[in-house]
Amino acid sequence: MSALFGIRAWWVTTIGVVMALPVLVVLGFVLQPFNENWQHLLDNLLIDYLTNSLLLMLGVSVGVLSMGIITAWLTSTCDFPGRRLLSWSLLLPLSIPAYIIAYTYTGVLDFSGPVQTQLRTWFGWGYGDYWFPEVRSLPGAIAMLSLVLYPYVYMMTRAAFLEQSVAVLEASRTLGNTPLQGFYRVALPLARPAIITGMSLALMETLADYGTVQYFGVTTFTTGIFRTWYGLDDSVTAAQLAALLLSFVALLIVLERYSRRKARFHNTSQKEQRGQRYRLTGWRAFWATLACSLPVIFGFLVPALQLLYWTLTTASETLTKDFAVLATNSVLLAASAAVIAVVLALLLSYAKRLLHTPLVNGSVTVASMGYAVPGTVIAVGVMLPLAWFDNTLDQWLRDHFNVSSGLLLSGTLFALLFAYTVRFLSVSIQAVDAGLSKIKPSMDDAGRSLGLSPFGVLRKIHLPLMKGTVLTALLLVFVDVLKELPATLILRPFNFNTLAVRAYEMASDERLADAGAPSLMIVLVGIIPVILLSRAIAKSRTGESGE
Amino acid sequence: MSVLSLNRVGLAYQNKTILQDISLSIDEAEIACLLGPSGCGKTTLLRAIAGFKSLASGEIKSGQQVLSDEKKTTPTEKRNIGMVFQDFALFPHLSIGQNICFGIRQQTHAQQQQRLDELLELVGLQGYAKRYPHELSGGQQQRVALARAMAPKPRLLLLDEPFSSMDVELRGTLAKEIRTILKHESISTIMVTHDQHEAFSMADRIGVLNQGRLLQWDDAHSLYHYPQTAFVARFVGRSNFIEGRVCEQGVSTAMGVLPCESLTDFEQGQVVKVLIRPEYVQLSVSSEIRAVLISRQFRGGYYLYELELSSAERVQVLLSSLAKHQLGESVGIVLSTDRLSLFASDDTQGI
Repeated sequence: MSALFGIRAWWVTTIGVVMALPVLVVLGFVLQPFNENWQHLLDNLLIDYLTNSLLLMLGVSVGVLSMGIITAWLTSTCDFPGRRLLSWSLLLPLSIPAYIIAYTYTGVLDFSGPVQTQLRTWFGWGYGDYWFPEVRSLPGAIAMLSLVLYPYVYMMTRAAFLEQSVAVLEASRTLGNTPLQGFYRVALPLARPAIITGMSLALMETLADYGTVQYFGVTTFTTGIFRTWYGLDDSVTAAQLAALLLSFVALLIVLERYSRRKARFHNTSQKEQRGQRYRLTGWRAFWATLACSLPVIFGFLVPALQLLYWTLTTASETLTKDFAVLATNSVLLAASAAVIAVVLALLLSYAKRLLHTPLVNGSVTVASMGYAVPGTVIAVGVMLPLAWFDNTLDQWLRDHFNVSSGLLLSGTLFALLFAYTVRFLSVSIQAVDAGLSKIKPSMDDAGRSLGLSPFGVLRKIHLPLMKGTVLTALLLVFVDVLKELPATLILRPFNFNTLAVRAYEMASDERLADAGAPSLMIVLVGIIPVILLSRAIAKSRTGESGE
Repeated sequence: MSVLSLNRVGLAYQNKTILQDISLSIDEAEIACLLGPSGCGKTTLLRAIAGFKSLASGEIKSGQQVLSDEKKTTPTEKRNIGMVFQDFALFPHLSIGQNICFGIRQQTHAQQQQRLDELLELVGLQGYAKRYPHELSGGQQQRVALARAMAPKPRLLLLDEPFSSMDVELRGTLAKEIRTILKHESISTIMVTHDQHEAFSMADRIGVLNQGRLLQWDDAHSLYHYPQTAFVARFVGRSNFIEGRVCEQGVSTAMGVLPCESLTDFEQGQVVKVLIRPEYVQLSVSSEIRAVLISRQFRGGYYLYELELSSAERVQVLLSSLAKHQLGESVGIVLSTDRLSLFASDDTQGI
């Protein structure tokens, strides 16, 4: 029996090490000598990368906090027309990748787009007669990222508000505070850990973004890594830049972990039933409905309609056999990655449950760090060791057998799947862990006492009970892979295209309308987990049904 | 002048009546208790007094000031009524000191500090000001909740099921401690509970609620010995009802003709029920009224016997455990009280 456990612990550690490999490789390059390109970077570019990345993070923080907290407070404690519909619709922007919303707003707001055309018709302006804000700019990028990332803050904050015992808010009123004072003095401080968690998740996505900033011409770390990698053909400096980017990410991870830990003490038991919501009427109700509608309209409806319009107008050219190949590529790739990630997640979570050794727990934690690491960094970290392996093997074969192995791993789907697994394993681990924690350990013991092996317990008790969880985990990884852009761009085999890559290429060629069909497809698939998520949230809130 | 008076208070939720026709008043420094089974509306009444619920009819007044009537509800924060919640509702992000000073932040720092020291000493938590709620035990948390509610010197303090989350052993001690604190501060209090022992140990006056009505508003002694309804008789203490017929000298029952209270409310010859508390019955060798011992439970100082009367009615009685009687033994019994409560026969149905 212990031999079986021994093998497991060993597997888990191996998986942890393999998953950590890309990050370790990138960090390892810091030890390499800094070459002459650094002089160039320091003289001109690095200060831009730094200021733009920081401004982007600052702007997105303000954006996601204001949108996320206001909507969370309104939908969780007030009642106004459309509240039920809006409380789940507010999650919809999560289904649109930032680079796609960037393409759509460029189409909507540029010179030949519907907004400016309409303004010209109304006021009879001509070209150059008027000033119009340029969406392809730093403020534009902040707006785009905020519009699709605020749901992280909304989701976490709303859950925190709903979990707060009503008695705590009532206690503040018996001590002389108005409802609004109660919000500032009690509800908001109590939700602070949740708010910070949501914000750090949004900022991790901001740092990871490549598509938006690249398209808007805002130079950040991710565009810098691409430029160094492709433009200067300098993989060492690219990896060193990636390591620098990782240090920002590390700060966010620390922030997130810290606030999650703190959140434990901010629990308020909820013995009391949910109190009545503040019923808003008249102008107050109008403002509340408006405040909660705007993020949905601008974060989802407008871009979705624009994509639909583009898809319909270009249907005859884009929806061809070529598109079917593209879609099949994407689906197969995403499905394979999802299966790999979920199988590994099952293995890791189950091992963690059986063996509580620090080594196993540590390995699982390391294996689930990938969510914070930008795709660009992972791609660099995957590409470098694989290329080294290919070259070394090729050289050795040539020297000894006079044959060439060519590129065995680095230019293949293996590299891509590896990168996806590193990046999204945490998504599946989180989902599987959540499902597994609902199965009481006494059930394991009962199964074992009735003669099942640990694997038998997994197969006969856990899997039937966890069917839903496993499906959810598969779906989450599937959708994330479908949306992924920067790692796919770097690692895809020659001439291998996915929906995301096609959308990127069309947009880069200034053929925005042709980017519509692949983008719409990604968004449509992306809606499914959002619906699942909102249903799960609704179900876990039994207090809601009693209103 | 009463600190709080309720005048024919009624409350409804979604067209369903929750409370009706409730009138009562609380005097200065009095501790009152609302007692009733779950779902009787006692917590709703407490929340209406706190201002969390609006009235459908009647009014709640403090002195001459109307706090609630069917038209307006003064917001909770303007009432100066303190409340201790069932789960204490301490603010987990604030220290004990900050929790207690939460309601007096408009005072100067020195005043706050003085009141804090005073309260911490009163509740026996000196030196805990810098701690956080999650570091405290349940009993300590409750005392913090009490200190926090008392800090602004409210005109009235509300306690919602204050001991429900405590161990049974702890409840008695805590009730005594809290009563001492409340009496020391001379603070008028209304508490809600479903446990009569808590009510007895805490309250000067007890109101029994059932199905949204206030059945009786009395001190514990009257509630127990002179219940006005059969529900109160059953809910408070252990009770036996035996059948009787009203006659000129009293009520004729299987235990003989008994002298009773409020005989004038009933007609001659009417069939009624008489309340016999277990400790009213005593053994007497000389008594002509005989009963047979059916069963016996040991209760420490007492045995709880079940007796069968000549009418085949059964009565539970408490007798000292110094003497042990055999089952099946026939004994003579007498009643040790001459003021028994009477109820119309149909009043005791279905409870």
